[in-house]
Amino acid sequence: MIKLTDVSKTYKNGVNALYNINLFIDQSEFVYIIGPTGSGKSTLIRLLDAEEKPTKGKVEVAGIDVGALRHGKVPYYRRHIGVVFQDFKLLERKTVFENVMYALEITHMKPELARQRVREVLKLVDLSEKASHYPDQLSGGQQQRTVIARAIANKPKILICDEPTGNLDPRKSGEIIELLERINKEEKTTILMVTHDSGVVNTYKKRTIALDSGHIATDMQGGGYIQHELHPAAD
Amino acid sequence: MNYILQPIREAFKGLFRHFSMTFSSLMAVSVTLALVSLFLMLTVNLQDITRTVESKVQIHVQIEPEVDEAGIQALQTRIEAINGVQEVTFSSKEEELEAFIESYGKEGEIFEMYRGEQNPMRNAFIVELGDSVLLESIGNQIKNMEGIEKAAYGGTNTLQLIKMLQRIRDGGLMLVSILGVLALFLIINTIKITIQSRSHEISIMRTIGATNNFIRAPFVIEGFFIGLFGSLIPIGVSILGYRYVYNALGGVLFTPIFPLREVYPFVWFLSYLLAMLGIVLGLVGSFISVTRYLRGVR
Repeated sequence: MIKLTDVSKTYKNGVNALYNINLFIDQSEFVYIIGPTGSGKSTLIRLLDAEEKPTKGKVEVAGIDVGALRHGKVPYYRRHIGVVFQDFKLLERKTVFENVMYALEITHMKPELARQRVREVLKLVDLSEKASHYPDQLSGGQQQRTVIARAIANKPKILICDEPTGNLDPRKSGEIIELLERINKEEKTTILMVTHDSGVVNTYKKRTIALDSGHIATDMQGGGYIQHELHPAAD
Repeated sequence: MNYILQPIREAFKGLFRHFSMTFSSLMAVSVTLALVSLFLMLTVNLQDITRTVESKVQIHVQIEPEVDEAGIQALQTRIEAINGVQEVTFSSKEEELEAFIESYGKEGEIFEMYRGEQNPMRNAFIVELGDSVLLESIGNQIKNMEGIEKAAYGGTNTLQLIKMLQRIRDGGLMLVSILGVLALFLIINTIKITIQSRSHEISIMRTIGATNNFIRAPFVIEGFFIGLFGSLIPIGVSILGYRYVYNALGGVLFTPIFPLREVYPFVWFLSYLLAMLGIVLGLVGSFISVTRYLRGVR
């Protein structure tokens, strides 16, 4: 489902973010990506989201060579992946319903089908009651659930979550992870979740990949928060 | 159908939800179009006045009394052959006297005693020209012909008046063009600020998977409506203002020699032009602004 082959990324300012990453994540897997600030987690997400191209190597998602995507094809690719951000990225001037609906409108889905799908996903994330609310009328947890609803509305094969619990208290964080687990099981969606939250990683055990200074430090199939070795930066 | 309705619906939502931005864009369009309209009204009327003055430019040629009928015929042929002369009309000394008496109105009665043998007037030609620029040179050519007593064309005053009117008209046209370009920049900048304030929104749309065209369409439609609605105020002001000024001045600028362009259909033409200009500026302005922004976003 996700395959990285010898992927390196060096930014224009000379910062080396990733070195020779080789990684395979299968369909329906739920994987945590952990690591300290500057370890390359965000770069990995940007590569998967087609925001950046690898300097070297190949990034494949669902058989698509993401690095080779032309500018005009990027939006169509993004409809196959859902992204959940720490800072939510909700459209402030749209209601919960409209925010989720927007993800379907861009695919030109028939309005009646789209509305039905929005109702379904809002029910799944337990936000049916808040459909007509604007983002600033919601709590952090509710905003994050709206983002998840938007991200899964198109039934993406992969859901990338960038610190989805970063702004939430432990109870709300737990609710979000349980929701993601449900999506993972019910919709067979591959979930890749970047997190700093040791509580989440230790409680909800999943395959855990630790990044450090642009390298994969460990890849623990059984999960768990590990004290990984630091790799020296290879300049 | 949804392809068309969805961006229109989004555009209207955008217009109302970003009301302060919409309002400032509308004002920018309104103010510039009002200025364009003002200068257009001035330029069109100045053009009319210049044309009227030019068309009334004639040379009044007096023929020496000794010249006989055959001589007059020969002179007429020679004058008609001059390059730039449009028409030569013969006016007998009796006709000249009648015109003179008439020009004095009621007081002209005292000149009636000159009718008949006492007539001091000269046979004359009224020479009309195709282009007022040639007035001086043709006037001099005719004056130098044998048998011609005098060729009068109002002298340098007429020439200066025509030159001045032409200069004002050309200046007005230039101002309208400069204002048009300024309006475009003003609109592009206003819409650019609107888009910058919504850049977060646009980047989210891209992240979700919206294509550039999908993002652009509502903004361009917003531009269309801002241009259209922004032209309504200047259109209203122009119609009422021009009608008021026209009626207040009695349809002329100071004297009947300078008639103003009639209110209808001129104001309809002006309204159509302002609406079209507003729409085109709105469309082009928003298209350029969004496209520029989207180019930098992956």
